[in-house]
Amino acid sequence: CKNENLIRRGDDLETAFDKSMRLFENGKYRDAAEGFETVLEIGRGTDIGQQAQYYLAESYFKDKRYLLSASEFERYVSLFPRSDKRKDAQFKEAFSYYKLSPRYKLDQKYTRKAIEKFRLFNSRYSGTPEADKAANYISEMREKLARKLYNAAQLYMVTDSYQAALTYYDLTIDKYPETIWAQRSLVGKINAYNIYAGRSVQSKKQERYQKAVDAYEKFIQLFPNGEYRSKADEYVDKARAALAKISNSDSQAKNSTASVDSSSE
Amino acid sequence: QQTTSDSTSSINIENPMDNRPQQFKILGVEVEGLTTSREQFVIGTSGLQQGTTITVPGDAISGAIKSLYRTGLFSDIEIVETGREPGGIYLKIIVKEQPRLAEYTIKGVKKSQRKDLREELNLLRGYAVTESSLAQAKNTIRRYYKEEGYWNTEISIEKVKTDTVKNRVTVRINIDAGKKLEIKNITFDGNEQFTDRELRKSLKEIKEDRWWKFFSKKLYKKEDFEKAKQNLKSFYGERGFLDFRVTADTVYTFPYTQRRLFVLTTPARGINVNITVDEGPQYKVRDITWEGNTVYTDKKLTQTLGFEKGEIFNQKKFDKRLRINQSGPDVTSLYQDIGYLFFQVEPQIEVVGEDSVDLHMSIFEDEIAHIREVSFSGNTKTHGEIVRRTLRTVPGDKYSRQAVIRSVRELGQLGYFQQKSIKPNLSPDRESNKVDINYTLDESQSTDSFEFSGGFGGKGIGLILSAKLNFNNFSIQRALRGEGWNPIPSGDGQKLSLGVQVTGQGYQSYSIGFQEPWLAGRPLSLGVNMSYDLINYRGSNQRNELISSSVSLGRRLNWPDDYFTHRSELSYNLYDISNAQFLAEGTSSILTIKQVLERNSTNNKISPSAGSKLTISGEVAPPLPNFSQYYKFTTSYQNHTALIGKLVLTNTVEYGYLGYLGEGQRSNFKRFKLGGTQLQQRQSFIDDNIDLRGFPGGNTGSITPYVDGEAVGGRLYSKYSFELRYPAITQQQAQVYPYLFFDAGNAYLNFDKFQPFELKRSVGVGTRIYLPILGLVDLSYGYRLDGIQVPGSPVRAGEWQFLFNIGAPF
Repeated sequence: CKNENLIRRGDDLETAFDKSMRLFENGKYRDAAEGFETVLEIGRGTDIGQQAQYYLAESYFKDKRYLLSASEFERYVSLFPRSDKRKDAQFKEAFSYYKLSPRYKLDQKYTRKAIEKFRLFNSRYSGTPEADKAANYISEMREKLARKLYNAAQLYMVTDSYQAALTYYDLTIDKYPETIWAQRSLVGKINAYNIYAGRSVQSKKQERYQKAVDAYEKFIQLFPNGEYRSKADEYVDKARAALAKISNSDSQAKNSTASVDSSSE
Repeated sequence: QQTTSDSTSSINIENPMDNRPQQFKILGVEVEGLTTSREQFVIGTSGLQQGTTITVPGDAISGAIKSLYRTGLFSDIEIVETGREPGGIYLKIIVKEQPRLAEYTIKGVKKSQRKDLREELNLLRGYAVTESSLAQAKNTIRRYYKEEGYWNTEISIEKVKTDTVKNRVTVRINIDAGKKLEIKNITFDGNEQFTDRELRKSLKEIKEDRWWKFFSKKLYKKEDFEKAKQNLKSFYGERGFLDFRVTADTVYTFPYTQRRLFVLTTPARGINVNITVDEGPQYKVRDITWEGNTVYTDKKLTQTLGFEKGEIFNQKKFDKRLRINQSGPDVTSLYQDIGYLFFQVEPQIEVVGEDSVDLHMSIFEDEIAHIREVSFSGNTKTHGEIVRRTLRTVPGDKYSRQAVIRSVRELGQLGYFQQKSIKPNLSPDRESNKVDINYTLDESQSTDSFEFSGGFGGKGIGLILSAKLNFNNFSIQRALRGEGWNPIPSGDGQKLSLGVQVTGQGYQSYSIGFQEPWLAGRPLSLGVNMSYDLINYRGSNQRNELISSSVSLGRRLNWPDDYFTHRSELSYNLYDISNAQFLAEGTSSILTIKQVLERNSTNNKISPSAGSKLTISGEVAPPLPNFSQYYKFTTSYQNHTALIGKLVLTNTVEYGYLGYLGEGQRSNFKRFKLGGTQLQQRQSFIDDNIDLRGFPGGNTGSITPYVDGEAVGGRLYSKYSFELRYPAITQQQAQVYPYLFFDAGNAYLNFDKFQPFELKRSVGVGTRIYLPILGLVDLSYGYRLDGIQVPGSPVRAGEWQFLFNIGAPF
């Protein structure tokens, strides 16, 4: 019967806690959370209160209410910094934010928060297996943030805003150099400078093709065996060909003016 | 009843001067003074476990005391050394537990106020009751009552021990609110140029009590009074009184006789406010000079500032024209719109002679700033690219205030974010002359709408029931991947709408529409629509059907300016007619190609206050074998002007012409009929129906030329409309725009009969109501100045016509 499990007026702290634990073990996390709240209200400052704080957070977590679980785990860590469960709570606080992190196209507020919290965890518990896990989560989320920036660059490419695209390729490379998106951004940069140069006035062309080549050189330096190497090669060939053409016509122009000069003499 | 002394803490350590910091191992810890807390908890919280090594004197002891205080459970904490051995010490933590709150009661107030107060008070069960928490509660209550106009609130707080074992107290709060005071009198001294009445009006924030002012604010609040004085100052400032000062003000209570129902009187107390002012002279502008400007000429700047020599110096106008002007040019915009983000102007207003001022502006133009990063936060449903593509601020561009303003406006127009929450945040970097822009968004409200409406369509139509589901932020990509069905995949800014309409008398309509505003990531919109309409009146053998489908592609243009859009539409219509009045029986197919050019600079979808919309459209149904043919031109122009304050005048002009390419296979569908709104018109889907208020529209009530007593529809039409509109409520949850209108229009049989000013006219009132869940509802009540001059027509002059519609007007 469900009613037996509910906390009643007059229940002492132990009974209330036990009842809440039973709800928790039976998978009734929403009711359990309510129970632990009540236990906390009357049992603040006791050992039971400390346990209730942990299981309250845990109930929220299991109930997928991650914003609440994050803040309750955080409270646990700040109230009981010397508890055995601190490490666990601190990890789960970060993990709650990780769970809140949405797909890359949406606002990444919680992703950033999760990374920050996992980093905090790793600085305290470096070398533990959990720290390795945290590091994995961090790199997974950094991939996501990098992809978001790269995607912005791609949008600017489609709308012919090359300057903007270049800004965002650079941001991706600077902020997330270890990700696949940095590699793709460098390739994107070579391509962007190529197109940009192609659409520029004559006087700017050389400079911009040169920048495409510079981007390629950076690519080779950073990712000599990168999976986008062939794409980068393809783009840089175009840029080099264009540069060759420009210097050819320049020298021809010089020659022709020189010959004109000599003939006029 | 008991009281607790102020919390103090002490730590017993010998004179630190003869005590060098030394490391000790804690050999034992005792705790004294506990009633409910556990010893282990206290030691755990303090961090002074047995075996820990600490430095004395050092942070460990003070840190322990801090940690213990932070729990809020103790009023007094002391840590003493109880013994020392070489390399080790014994400690004792002496605490005094704070009584904790069991519950609290509030007496002497109304039930509703008690609820309000409980929300405001920060007293939590299970938390320690301290003197400071009670003093805070007292302040909160006093502030609450002052807000409500009670000046002499008496509050007493009792603490009663209700559980000595657990050290719990009950707090009893007794409140005597006292008498409510209202402002009865506002008087002025020293005013010569303006009357007391004018000045009272200028105060805005505070008002006198008068028996007819039931709802206005008459309470005296300190902040309001300060604001009111500011308003008074700007009132004078706007009229050139630069030296204006409030030299004194007094606020006092006085006894007066309160009248009730004109007969009964009771003695009461009220507040009298007196303000003494020194007006000073009224200044006029003598000379305007500029310094430091290289980008713009003095003449251009003076013209933008908009002051003539000899004009009264209006401080408000001056500030507005110099810094920021919502409804016109200003000097700062001139610079900031072309990249001068760091531009600064310092005005000097120098008094010359008795009552003149010279205006001298020092300008620091600084460098042009370029945009670096553009980001946004708060898009919890809408995908990033939908937001980013809307923004007019593009990395690498010159900074432009205009572009920021337009971005904010166009983000608002998407309809996904709360308009008021959209904020641009600039982070300029002076060293690199770059600026990062971040837009904050709030997407907590749903943008989908469900329209369900019922209406009476008049005789011959009967009851109309219609339901429409609009998903305004649909994502077909996610839908196809099978994700996000909770309930509807969203985020890609596509629109999906499903509609059903039936009437009691044999009309049915089903429609489905899909719109992707950016096809394949490019500013190219794709629209696909399909519909089926059937009319089959009971007791009549008339049965008309229409199957219609169309595909359209639209794009934003950058030339002549970027308010232009162009749309191409290909549509196929299959009509099946039996027993219509003048139309040939059987099926006919029409294939049309339509080109629409539009310039839309209106600033709001529901009720624009500025901007205009020009639409030119050409449509041709080519004479293919087995297809009917016609061509059509329509044009409309609509202009919105803010008249006074928020009052807006909208005027509209529309013309349409239907012609034929030769004699054969002429289509008689889509001829013009005027009257009613879309809701009434959907019944007569074989015509091209033009909205006109005051006329019922539909099959029997439309304005149309008649041939042999049959409504054939016009080949030309003209329409003129004036609307005076006022945004009465502009909340996010509800928007109400009442309006007055004058509409006129007519449909003509052919060019020979075209007389653009021979019109059917109506005047009336109406209101547009926007509720997020329902969409936009338009109600109008129009008085016809002209009738439809056909014998037996029910639409006569001098009658009122009520119309109802759901959907967007502009």
